[in-house]
Amino acid sequence: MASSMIIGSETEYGLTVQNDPEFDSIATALLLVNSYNADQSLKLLWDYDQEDPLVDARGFELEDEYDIPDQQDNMAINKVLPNGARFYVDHAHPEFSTPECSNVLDLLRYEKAGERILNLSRIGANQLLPVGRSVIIYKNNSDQKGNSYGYHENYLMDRRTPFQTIVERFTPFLISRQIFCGAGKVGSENGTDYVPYQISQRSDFFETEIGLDTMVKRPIINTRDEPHADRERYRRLHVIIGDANMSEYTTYLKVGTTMLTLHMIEDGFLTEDLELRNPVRALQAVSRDPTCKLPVQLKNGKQLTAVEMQWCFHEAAQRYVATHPDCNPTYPDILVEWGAVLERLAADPMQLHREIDWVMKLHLLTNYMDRRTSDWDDPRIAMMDLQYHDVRPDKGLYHVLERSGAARRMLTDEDIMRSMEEPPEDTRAYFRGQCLKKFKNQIFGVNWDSISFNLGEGPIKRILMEEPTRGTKQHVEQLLERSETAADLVANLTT
Amino acid sequence: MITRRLHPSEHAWAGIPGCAEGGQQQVRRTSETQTENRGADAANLTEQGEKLQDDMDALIDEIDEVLEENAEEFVKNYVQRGGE
Repeated sequence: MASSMIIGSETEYGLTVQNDPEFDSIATALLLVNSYNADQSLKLLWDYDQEDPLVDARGFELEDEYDIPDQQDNMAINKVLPNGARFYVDHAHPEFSTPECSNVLDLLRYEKAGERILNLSRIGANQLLPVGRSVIIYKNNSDQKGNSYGYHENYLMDRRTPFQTIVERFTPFLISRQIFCGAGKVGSENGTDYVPYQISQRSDFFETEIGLDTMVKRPIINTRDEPHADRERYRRLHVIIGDANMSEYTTYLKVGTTMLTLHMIEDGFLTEDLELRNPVRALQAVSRDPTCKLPVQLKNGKQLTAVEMQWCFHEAAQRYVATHPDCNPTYPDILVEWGAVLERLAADPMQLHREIDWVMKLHLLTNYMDRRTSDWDDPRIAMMDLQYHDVRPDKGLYHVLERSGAARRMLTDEDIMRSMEEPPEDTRAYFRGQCLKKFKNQIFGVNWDSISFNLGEGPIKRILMEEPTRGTKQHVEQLLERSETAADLVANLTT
Repeated sequence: MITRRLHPSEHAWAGIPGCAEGGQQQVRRTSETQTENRGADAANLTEQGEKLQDDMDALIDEIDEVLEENAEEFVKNYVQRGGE
């Protein structure tokens, strides 16, 4: 039976440079990644030896070439931070991956720390740009013109769980969870029918049920099989369908309910048949119904609304938590918030205008339109849709709401500031983060599941960390304390 | 002046009760003042409703202050390469 689950998120940010007609997204992303704590930045490699992104969970291996950057490029595009996170350039976007976390509250504080790290990078980068130009960064998923960039959640599952079971049980959850996870979007894209506003930023971009792609023909269930951990024991489920959220409460509920649901799937606890007749169509229909009242067709002939589907998962979760006293300590609270949100979605979704991003945005836009006698085709409305996600504390509209008390918080500012520097204490990210602090000049390369040291003479020493629940403060604090140098550490580990 | 906009072409939208001020008062009534004495409710609600409207007026003014200038041009120029 599952007792722990390691989780993390990866956020790709949108960006632009004001007053730069020749804006180059790759150069700007590079500049950003190299502008965070530039004077203390570490020169180390991201260790691609351990990566295998073209392996498929269904058992195939693709033959496409996968480019591994040369050493100079590698150091420029990858930064590993002392809090255990990775900050890097992915294609044309800056991307922030949280360290490995054991619970949703930790994931939330690292994801929010990532937003602040991006903002500090922006301030650093602006000092290197000509006067009058400045970088603007958005935590969203679409440019409103058919180009989408991702927000990926990762849940490390027991490999014994059959992948087909995950596909069957998890797909209806992903489709119905939009009603409390969506970041909200004005209009539609990617050749879909027009709507003035919809719940999800991403749903227009999903075209198939299952597959390995993330950039074209995006699948509801992504099959990338790259555990960054012991392959015999673990499968990292790579969830690519979610929106990046600004609201702390929305991220909390999104990741918390998803983790709990995957734990139930892992333990064979979900038995109700909620398979959809046409998952892709249902995904888009749910996103386009801000009343949350539209029924969708199940394979077994029944019709349920997204709220009703979520009540099925919630009801199972209630029994699960009641019968699993050793479950993750965050689950009882997640269960309470989940139920409260479903009740309000059923009564009137607009009641969630302090909690759920898509409702917060819609509430703001409709009040704006009412007071300024404007409508959905007003360019200021599209601007607000974008600027809601601006990471600048003075300009971002989410931040304006938060300052005025119109956004429900789950964290304190101190939680977030601390998470910019300190790694989580109960995963291997602790070992990575502390090594980066203590032995930074002797680290040669890092990956999620290894750290290698250059001890000056002899070969590079690589320490493998295939078990993400080890390397915690409890496991390694004393080891780190009695190792003055990296050579001591390696010696202490091997004797 | 505050007008109520409808979205007759979008049937799904007809079901959204009061996206703007009316909705807020309703929220107060259902989630926060439920246990209060009903007799005192009406006067309180009017007062609360006015306060909420004032807060929202101030918020919308602040949005206008921070919103990027030349919204149309700005939005048009925001083009990203796909990611992931």
